[in-house]
Amino acid sequence: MNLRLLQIADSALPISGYTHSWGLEAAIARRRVHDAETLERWTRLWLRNSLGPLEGVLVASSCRYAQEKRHDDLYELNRQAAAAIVPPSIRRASREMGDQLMALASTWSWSSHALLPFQAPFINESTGWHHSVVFGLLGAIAGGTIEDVLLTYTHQAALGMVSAGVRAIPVGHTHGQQILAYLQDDISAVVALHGNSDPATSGAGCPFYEVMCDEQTQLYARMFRS
Amino acid sequence: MLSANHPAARVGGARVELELAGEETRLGAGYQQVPVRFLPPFALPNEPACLLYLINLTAGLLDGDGHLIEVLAREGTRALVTGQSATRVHPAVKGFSTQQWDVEVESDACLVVLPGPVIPYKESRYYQRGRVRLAPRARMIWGDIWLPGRYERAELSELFQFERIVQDFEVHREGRLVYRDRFVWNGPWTSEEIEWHFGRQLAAASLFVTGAIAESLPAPPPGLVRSVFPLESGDTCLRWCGEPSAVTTDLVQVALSQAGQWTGGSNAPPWLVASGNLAPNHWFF
Repeated sequence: MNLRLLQIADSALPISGYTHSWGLEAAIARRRVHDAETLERWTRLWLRNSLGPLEGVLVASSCRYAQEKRHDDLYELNRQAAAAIVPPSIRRASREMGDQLMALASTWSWSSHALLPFQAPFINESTGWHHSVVFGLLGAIAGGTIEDVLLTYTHQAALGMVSAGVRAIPVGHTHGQQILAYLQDDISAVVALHGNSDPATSGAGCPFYEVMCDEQTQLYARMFRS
Repeated sequence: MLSANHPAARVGGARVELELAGEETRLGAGYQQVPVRFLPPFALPNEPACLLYLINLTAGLLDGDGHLIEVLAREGTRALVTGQSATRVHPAVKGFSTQQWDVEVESDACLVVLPGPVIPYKESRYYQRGRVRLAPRARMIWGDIWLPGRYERAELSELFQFERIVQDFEVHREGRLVYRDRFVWNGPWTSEEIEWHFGRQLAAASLFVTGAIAESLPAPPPGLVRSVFPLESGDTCLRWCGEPSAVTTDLVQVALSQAGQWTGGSNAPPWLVASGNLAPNHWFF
């Protein structure tokens, strides 16, 4: 058991992850998601088509670069994230969560010193850190394998989506945990598919999903920022 | 003579250099390798930009075909570069087909590139690669339309029956990556996957525009969804999902209106569409 990985994946970590629904609220407004079954389907499609191919590859690549001490490549990977995450709400949330996770980790005894050489290229950078990149970096510092780090990331992301659904639809907590159990094979599949992917392959082409992420920002009343 | 079965016979391409001659954009150096050809740029009366058609002399991209298109827009040039027909991607027997673009835009040039909408046939495999290099004051618009296959053939329609589509498109400004559109679509798609990617529609589209765009675009027609995404770099990306002709019409309108504003100010008409000099095709109805 890797306590450090558990820590960075904790939903109680104060990085505002609980305000992030990845466009789910717009799907609820369009009645595409309205109960436990549709929440499970939505989350599965999101893992397979959006999160895995984009953020999943970034997490695995970041972890690999950190293990190999490729500081400049990690910096470029963060730029790649900024150029590839198109909906501003998702990009902003990714950056804010990344910056907050980096700020927290800079105070932890197990990570602060090891982070310093990776932070150096960012001194004059105004774009900030993306969450998937920081997560992979910290996962490597935590001593996790690429597979474990990506598995942990994907699980916490799925948990975040399901938790948002539990609150927004709403769905009972028991149902929420049931959905998470049903998604375990899908979470493992993300690791199998993307754990060894070349960072040049990162990206997800989901035009309608992105449109919904945009619609979410225009909802009259909403619970989530993204 | 090479037979059509020889791999070298499957590679076509064009190299186009656009340069300024007085006020007019003209062809500078050019090279073409069949089956890709281009027509000399049309300079239409009272139009600020020239129109350059690329032509594929065959029925589309067959298995093993590769096209490389290089465009260099010199300083101050203004042009619309577009495919004369849609990009029909035929079934792959052994390999895949590919179209690859290399575009460079110098400062104060305004370039709009609208490759043909992609029609991926059943069991097709297609790789599209685009690399764009922008000078600091370069202006460029790039549009992609993705169709589900041959969709107007009643029971014979092939909706989302392709095997694989890979899009690999990047824009760099002064060497720095500013936009990246990269994906792998593995087909055939289920109804759930169609809904996830296209929202149960038959077309999706994407437009990259340098800089910000006009704040108040006309509302899209009913049934068409369009989103405008300001990018981290200060550039803009738009996405559409809808019925194919509605998506195409709106994308062309947005692209050429924006280009018109670049060259003629905020009240200028769109490039080319009102001139009456455009032959109807897949872009211009």
